[in-house]
This record gives sequence, structure tokens and C-alpha cells, in this order.
Amino acid sequence: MRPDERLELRIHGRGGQGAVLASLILADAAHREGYHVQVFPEFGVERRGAPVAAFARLGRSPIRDRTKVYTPHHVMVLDAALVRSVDVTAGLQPNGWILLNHAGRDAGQDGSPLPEGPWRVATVDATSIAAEHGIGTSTAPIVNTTMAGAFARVTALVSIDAICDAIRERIGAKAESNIAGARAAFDAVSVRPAPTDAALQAMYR
Amino acid sequence: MKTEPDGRVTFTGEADLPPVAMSFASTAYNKTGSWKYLEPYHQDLTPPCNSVCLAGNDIVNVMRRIEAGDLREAALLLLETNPLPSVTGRVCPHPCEKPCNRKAMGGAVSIRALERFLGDWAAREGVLPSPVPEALAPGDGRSVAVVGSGPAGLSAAYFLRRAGFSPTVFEAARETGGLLRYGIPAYRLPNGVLDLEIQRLAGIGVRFETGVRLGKDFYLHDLATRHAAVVLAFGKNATRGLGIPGENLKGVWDGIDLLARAKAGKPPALGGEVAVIGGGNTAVDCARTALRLGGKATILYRRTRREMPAFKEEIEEAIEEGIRIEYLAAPVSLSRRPGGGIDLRCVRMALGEPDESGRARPVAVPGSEFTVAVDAVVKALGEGVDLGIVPENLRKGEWRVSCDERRRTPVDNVFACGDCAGDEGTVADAIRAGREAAHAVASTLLDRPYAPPNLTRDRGASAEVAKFKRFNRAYFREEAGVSPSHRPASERRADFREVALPLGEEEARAEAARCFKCGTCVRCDNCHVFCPDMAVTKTARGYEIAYDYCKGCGVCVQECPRAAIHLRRAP
Amino acid sequence: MTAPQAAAREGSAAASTRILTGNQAAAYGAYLSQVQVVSAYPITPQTTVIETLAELYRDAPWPSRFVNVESEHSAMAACIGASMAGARAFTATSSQGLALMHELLHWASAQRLPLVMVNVNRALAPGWNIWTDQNDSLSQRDTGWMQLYCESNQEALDTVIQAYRVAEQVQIPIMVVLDAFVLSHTAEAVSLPSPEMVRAFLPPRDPPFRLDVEEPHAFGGLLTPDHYQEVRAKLHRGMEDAIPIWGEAERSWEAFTGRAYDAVVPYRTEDAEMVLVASATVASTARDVIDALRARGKKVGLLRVRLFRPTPHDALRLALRGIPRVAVIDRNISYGHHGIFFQEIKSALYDLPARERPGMFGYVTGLGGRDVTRGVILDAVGRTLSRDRAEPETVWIGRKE
Repeated sequence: MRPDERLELRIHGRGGQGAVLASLILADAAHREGYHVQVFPEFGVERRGAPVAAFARLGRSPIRDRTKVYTPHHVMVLDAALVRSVDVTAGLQPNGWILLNHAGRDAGQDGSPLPEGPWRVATVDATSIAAEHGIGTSTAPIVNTTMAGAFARVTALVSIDAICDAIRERIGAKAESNIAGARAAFDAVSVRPAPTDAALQAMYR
Repeated sequence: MKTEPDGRVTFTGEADLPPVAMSFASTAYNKTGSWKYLEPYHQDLTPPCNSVCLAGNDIVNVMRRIEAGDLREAALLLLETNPLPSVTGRVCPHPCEKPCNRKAMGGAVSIRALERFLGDWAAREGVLPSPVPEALAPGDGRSVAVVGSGPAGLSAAYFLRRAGFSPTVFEAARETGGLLRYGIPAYRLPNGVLDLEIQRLAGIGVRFETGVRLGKDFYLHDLATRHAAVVLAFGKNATRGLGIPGENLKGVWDGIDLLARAKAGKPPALGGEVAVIGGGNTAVDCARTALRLGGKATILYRRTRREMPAFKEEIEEAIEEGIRIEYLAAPVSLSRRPGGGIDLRCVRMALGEPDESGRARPVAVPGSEFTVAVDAVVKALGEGVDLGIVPENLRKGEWRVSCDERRRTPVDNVFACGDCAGDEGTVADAIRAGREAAHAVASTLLDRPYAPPNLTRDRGASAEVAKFKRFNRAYFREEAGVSPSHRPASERRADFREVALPLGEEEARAEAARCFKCGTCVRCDNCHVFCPDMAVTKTARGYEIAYDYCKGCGVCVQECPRAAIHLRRAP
Repeated sequence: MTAPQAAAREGSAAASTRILTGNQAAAYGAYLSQVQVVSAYPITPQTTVIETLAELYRDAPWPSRFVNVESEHSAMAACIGASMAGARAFTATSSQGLALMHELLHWASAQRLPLVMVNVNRALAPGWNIWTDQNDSLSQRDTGWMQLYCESNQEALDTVIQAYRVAEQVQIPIMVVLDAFVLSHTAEAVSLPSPEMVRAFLPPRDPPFRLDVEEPHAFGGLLTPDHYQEVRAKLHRGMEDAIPIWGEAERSWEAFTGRAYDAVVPYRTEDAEMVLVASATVASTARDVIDALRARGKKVGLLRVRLFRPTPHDALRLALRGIPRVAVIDRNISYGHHGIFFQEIKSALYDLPARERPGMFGYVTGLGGRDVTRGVILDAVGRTLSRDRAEPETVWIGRKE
């Protein structure tokens, strides 16, 4: 990554699901790995249950750009059902990843179809993993930490260890179950199609 | 920065000015008092209620204590002027409520109902006036005889006792109380209430001898030799006759006698049509008593309702209860009717020129005679004083004991008060008269210069009556009062239980709170708080005005809610 | 307690770096300044400043009070009272809340109370708008408060601490201004100075006068025409003195932390034919634009204005004299006139000799939270370079046609 290059991420969720905390965990993890980071929520009023978004900007030099994120490199979706109401691929750069919290191995088969496009899709059943690890309540598992683990696996931007350290710092209580969830998601994520090393290298140089 | 000789701080220029507006010296050098041409002063005025209370009760300050829930202090203050609060709290025509300034903002304060509440509370609690004169100075326990135990005699004895004398009350009847016991029906004043009041007198050392009659069991001379002084306080002891044929027929009753028998629980059998002749309180009481005994009562009065001397509310209550009043009718003769009953022959009257009492003189209309068939007639034309019991030199005219403005009769150390001395009036008036007699006895026996009692002055209030127009209305809001409730007329005509119902403590406190405390400083601190020169300071006794600094702006006068501060020309 | 709180409290000598939002950073600045009285009323987007402080002050180890109030007016009144008694006091607000404080802002400055307040720039209603622009703080231009506009979270923290030092030296209150959301809710790495370091930089407050029962004075009494003007002249002089004193504070802070910001900050203005003037986060983004233009050979530079009041006249003249074109981007407007930074800078440069006086171009944009993108900034540069003379009317950019 060149010093003046920036990597932009967008996280989709619903108010109360922890999208902002997910962005802060990614920022902490990236900061630990030597990135300069900038994260921010969608500016405005948050309402519980309503679609929300959070953003992150990473780079190898101080980040001075303080505009919004319009063309993210990757997108993380905390709730696959959002795909029906929100254009999660808006501005998404070619070859970018869409990481979906979804039970099906193939996101195309289950009623939350993604528009076809020049991007790559990864899915992980973060809801089940979070529930198994007792994160949140059984009816409303909190998936932001597990999704962060999956994100590390898919994008290889940050290590899973950095993610776990960030979780430890941000979440005092129950950090260990969240860390276990993140690691489980890291292992469970499935991709379509599988990224090649060459593709990844092309992306991050 | 320079400090001037008078203490002021001045600045020579920008350099020595502080960076902010701040003081460096007291402003005490500035004697703003030198600017004034008017100056305020604190002076309580006489509250309107107080100005007309014959008993001289300190009504406003009693209200303040009731409002504060300090019932004992309130009772003690009331007992300073009124030995019979439970009585006056029932039967006084409450002239105090008429000029009440509260009238304009929700109705007059129910002063009488509050007096009854407090009097009954004090009686229940056994409150004695304080201090009880145990040491007996300065009257030194000298014995004083009081003849008559009606309100005037009780009052004289009470105040004599409190002045350190040892009064003994002589009563001709078997029980004490006089008119209160025998002349006021139980539905207005139950005997039990009176008993408790008299017990209080006994409690502070007033002695009573009953069943002994002046002029029969003993003579004035006996009393005068055995006691340092004598106070004659007997009341009306003779009924005026109708002066018409047939007035002694069977079935014709004396009004006072009827009331006394009813009160004693031994009423005569009275039924059918009962005609009551007269227009005073006795007439109304007799009619209401006859009604309660099962009769159908009609009052015959020779003038109109406007001239009726009975208390207005008594008349109203009587009418409520179904008593008929036949105005402009006078009896001419009574005769026995064949087959039972009485034929009452009457004549129509018309109002003529005013007589010496100021009321229109009734004049018989020739040829207007008419006859009513009745079963009984009650004579209630009024009562008089039988002067046969006192020596001739004490008699003044037909009906009065002779006494001067200091209540001295022509006999040394014999004084008179109450109905026998011409204090024809209310119980409150009798209380005033008794207090005056006690005062006169004390100044004579103690050889003190005499000055008429002046309760208002003694309290430090000026004689000026506090007027609503001088109040700051912003501090008062319209507030409806409690109206003391009455039992329904249909229910009360069947028995002798009290007509008016008592107030509860919460009600009483709320009602007392409505009192404006006219013209009376209640230490509200407004003068102290509003003074722009901080010239009004609080002291243990009230407020002090620093005239060196008071510039006479009058804000304190304006902000006094109740006209207890005034402006005068500055010297 | 979160890790940064623990670090701030434990007083570890080494600075620690944390990911904090602008509001959190500002709150830590107040906490590290050992503020004794905090009184504030919540308003979006300021709320997290006082939430953070409420948590920090739950058991601050020095005598302190967090005073709950029912309005911003009361918050400022509480701070004035605390400051009059000699305490170091802090508040934070935004937009309508700041407007409600207006009357008391005059009280604080004319009473020479060294308060520090964070204002999160938010547009004024009506139409309700919680997003950023500068009209709320600039409406308080003439209240006698110093104003500084921040462009990063680190700067927000540092400026609060610096502000206490300068405010207490010149006895003038200071407003530290953050863009709503763009700074207030954006998290980035912030280095937390150690409490010892802050204590060494910022001595305890030693007020020249205060409410003291041992030495009573009446304050804020009548000030007649005899003295009013002189006392106000002192306030004005205090403002002027604050410029060099701020400079000293920067040098001292730089010695402790290696960081300095200064009143105005030139960026690549050497040999520039055109200088863009901006403030707050717009200046931050503009740096990327300048770099891109320089890479394409354009002789353009940036002047970031950080200190708005007192106006750093000398620094502005030094930075902009002889520049042919100066384009000011305002995220604010004085209705019926111009952007406010534009008019202030134009006024400051008027005394330059005619040949050194720049052509002045003013652009208004970004009101009510409209994003000031690189494209918008490029538009300002492009318009300026393509014209010989400024357009006479106010020029809006980034506005929908």
C-alpha cells in the first residue's frame, strides 16, 4: 500500500446491532498493525432497528481527508436481510468484498439475492456463532465481534490477533467469549469465488 | 486609586481602574437618607373585625395562630379577652364578619365559626388562661362579690380573678349561667358547652354560690360589709306584660318561662296553633321552640321585617324551618273560645313617623281588627329589670341600676354592669361590660388612676381601621371560604340539637389562612427584602429602619401586603 | 473504567495513544486540565463530551463538581459562579444551546473569567439540522470570547489544555470549536499526554480577584459612562495580548509534546500564485487537494486559520502579502454580506500596499452539514484560477443548481 493510498470500508447494520462498535474494533486492530485510521458513523440521528452504516478509512500516512466515504473498497453487512432494503453495493469498488452475515453457504440461494457485479462475496453465519458463544441474548445475538473476525480472514487487512486485542480493549466484560466468536467466524467464513493470492495482491499491492 | 475622606474610592485614570466592574469600598458613605422628603414607619392598624368586636378579641392574631396550627397559643390569646369563646362562637351575631376585607375576594372569613372551633378545642383540652394568678398580686386576693352569673357577671368575675382578686358569684337560680342557661335554646347553645366554660372559671378560682337571691336571702348591705367590693350584674328578671285584656288566660305563656322550661328539659305541652307576640330574639326563639315541641308557630310583629330586632340569621333560620311571620299586626285582646282554644283579636298596623328608637312608629289602622283562633299564645315582648331588689338610691328610672361611666353606683365600692346597668346588648357586649367593671374595681381598690380600657392601644395598634383599598392586592387571591354548614331544616325542626355544625381542624386552618391579617405586620419580610437601600433590618421585635439610608421611596409601603407600613413627611 | 480513563488517571509518565472521537478527546483535554467544575446541558452533537466527562468525574481524585442544570443558560451561569469563586470550570454546547447562552457569554468575558467551552459546530434551526456549519459560533464573534477552530481530534484535546493556560494568563474565556460529526463523532488515534506533563504545562489557577468572604468585593455592579469605556478597552487589549501569549503556549506545548498548531498555519504557500484559506476540517481535506494540484504543477497553497478571535492580523498579512489570488472557503454566511472568514481576512489585508494586496475570492459552501468534498474544494480553486477578478456577489459552491 502506497503512503498516499487510502482504503475505505463500509459497514451496514441496524441501529443497536453494534455497527459503530464494529468499526471501532476494526480501527483499533488496524491501529495496532500500524495503520492510520479514521472511523465514523453515518452522520445524523440513530434509531434502534433502522438501517445504519459506519465507515472506516485506513492508510499508511496521516489521514487528512475528512469527507464521507462514497466509494468503499469493501462492505460488511451485519444482517443479510438489509440487502433487500439498502443498496449495500452502492459505490463499491470493482473486486471489492461483500462480507455477509448469512446462514446459507451461497448467498444467491436464500432469498436475499445480491445484485450481480464485479465484486466478491463472502458469507459467515455470524448469528449462529454469536449465539453459540452466548454473545448478546439468544433472541438477539450481537454479531459485530464475530463479523470482525470474519472480516480479518476475508480481507487479510488485519490479523485475527489484532482483532482479538481490539475486542479485549473495547469490551471489558465478556471479552473472551467475543474473542472466541471472532476466531470461530475467522475459521467458518466461506467465499465465492475464493480469492486468489494474485487478486489480493493486485488489490493491496 | 484614592480613598476619599468620606470612604469613597476614586480612580485617576485607566491605569488604576480594575479590569472588571468591582467595588473597593462600602457604599455606606452614601447617606441616601438625606434625599428623602417622606419616610416610612411601621404601625399596625386596627383590623376592621377588631374595630367592631365588643369583646375586644384580637381576631387577626388568633387567626395567625390557628393558621399556624398553634391552637394552644391561639386559645390562650382568645382567652385574654373572652372568657366564653364557645358561647360567643355560637350566639354572637358576629358583627366582625360584616366589615371583613376578605368579603371582596371570596367572602368574609367565618370568624364566629372559628371562635367556636377554638373555644370548643380549648374546653376539650382544659386550657386555662395563662398565667393563672397564683400569687394573687396585685389584687392580693381581696374578696369581691358579683351578683348574677349571666355573661356580664361571669366576665366580671373572670377578669377580677385574673387581676388577682377573689370573686364570688351569687346566683339566684339553682344553676349558673343566667340568660345563657335559661334564655338561649339548646339548638343554639347546649348546656354542656356552657358548663365547660364555667368550669374554666372555677378552674382559675372563681367561686359560685347558687340558689341565693339578692333582696331575699341577703341584701346589698350584707355583701358590702363582707366584701371589698360588689359588682351588680343581674339581668332582666321581669317579663313585660302585653297590657291587654285576657293576657293571663290559661294557654298564654310567658316567653322567658317557656324557654327556661324547654332548656331544663321540662317543656309545657304546647301544640296546635301557637301565636308568638314580639319581634326580638326571644320571640324567634319561642317560635322555634314551640315548633320543636310540636306546635305550628306564627310570629305576630307590629312592624315589618326590616324593623325586627332579632338577629337576621335567626329570622332566616326560623323561616327555613317553616315559621310564619305576620307583620304589621298587634294583639288587641285575648278571650277564651268556646270549645277550647283562644281567640286572639288583632289589629292591622301601619308605619308612621320614626319614634325615639329611630324605628318607624306603628299606628293602628282603624277598623282593621281581625280574630285568629289559636291554641296557645306566647308573650315575648321583651324583658325588664326588677329593681325591687336594690335600695332605692341605686335605681335610675324604672329599669336601670344607676351607675356612672366608671361603673360606680352611688354606693361606695358597689359597681354595676350588664343588662341591669343598661348594657342592653349581646353576649359580647356583656363581656365588655364585665371587663370594664373588673377594671373599675381594680383601679378603685388599688387606688390607681382610672383610664378606660383600650385593647387596641394596648396591642400597639393605632385606632385607624385598615382599609382594603390600601392593601397590595397582588399578594392575595380570590379564595372561597368554608361556609359553616347547617343541619337541614326538615331534620332540625324535630329536635333541640345544634343547628350549626362545627368546623374540623383542617377546615379551620384553611379558613384562618384566608384572613388578610389586615393592618397587622406578620413579619413577611417584604419591607426588608424590597428595600433598595437595605435600610430595613430585622430585629427580634420586628423591623428597624435605618433613616440615614432610607431615601423615602415608599417601595416598602407599596409592597406591604396589608397596610402595616405608612409614609409620613420626613422631619 | 476504560483503558484511556485508567491511563489518564494513573498518571503514567508515558503518553498513550488511543482511538478516540473528537468529543472524547475534548473531554479528556478538560479532565487532564484538572477542571474543578463541569456544568453542561446535553445537545446533539455535543452530548458525548459531557457523557465522557460525567464518567470521568464520577470519582475524580481532586475536589470537583459535575453540576447538572436545566439549560445551557444555567450551565454557563454555573460556570461563571464557579469561576468567580476561583475554580477552573468547563462547559460544552452546540448550536441552539450556544445561542441560548449568548447573554451570559458577555458576562463571562466582561467579568474576565477564564472559562473554556467546547462548541460543536452545528447549524441553527429552523428547519432542524444537527449537522455541521459555523454560524452558531460565529454568531458569538463579538461576545469577547477567543475562538479556535480545530481540524483533528488530537488538536481538540491539545487545544483545550492550551486554552486554559492562555485564558488564565489573559483572563479571557476561550471557545474551542469542533465540527459536528466530522470531528465530534469521528474516531482516530489520539495521543494522551500524561497528567504530570499537563500539570507542568498548566499551573493551578491563580485568579487576580475572586469571590472571597475574607476579602469581599461587589462584582458586576454599575459601570458608568465615566469608566465603562476604559474597562472595555482593557478587555480589547487583553485580546491583543493573547496573540503572543498563545504563541508562547504553543512553543511550550511543542517542547512537551512535539506538537504545535499556531494561530494560522501555512501549507505549501511558498511561491504560490493562489492561496486557499480554510478553517476546521475543510482545511484538513484541502491539504490533500493542494498536494494533488502541486503534483500536477499548480502553484497553489493553503492557509489554515485556527485562531479566529483575536484576529491574528500580523500573521495573516505575513502569510498572504503579495499572493496574487486568495480564495476563502466559508462554511458559514453573514446573510446579506459574505462568508465571515472572507470578510475578516479581506479587512485584515486591506492595509497592505496596493501591489502586495491579494485579489480576494470568497466561496460559501458546506452549510447544514453538506459534505465539502475534494471536488468542491477543487471547484473553488478552479474558479479562482480561471478569473482575473473576483465575482462581486457571494459565490456558492457545492450547491445544487
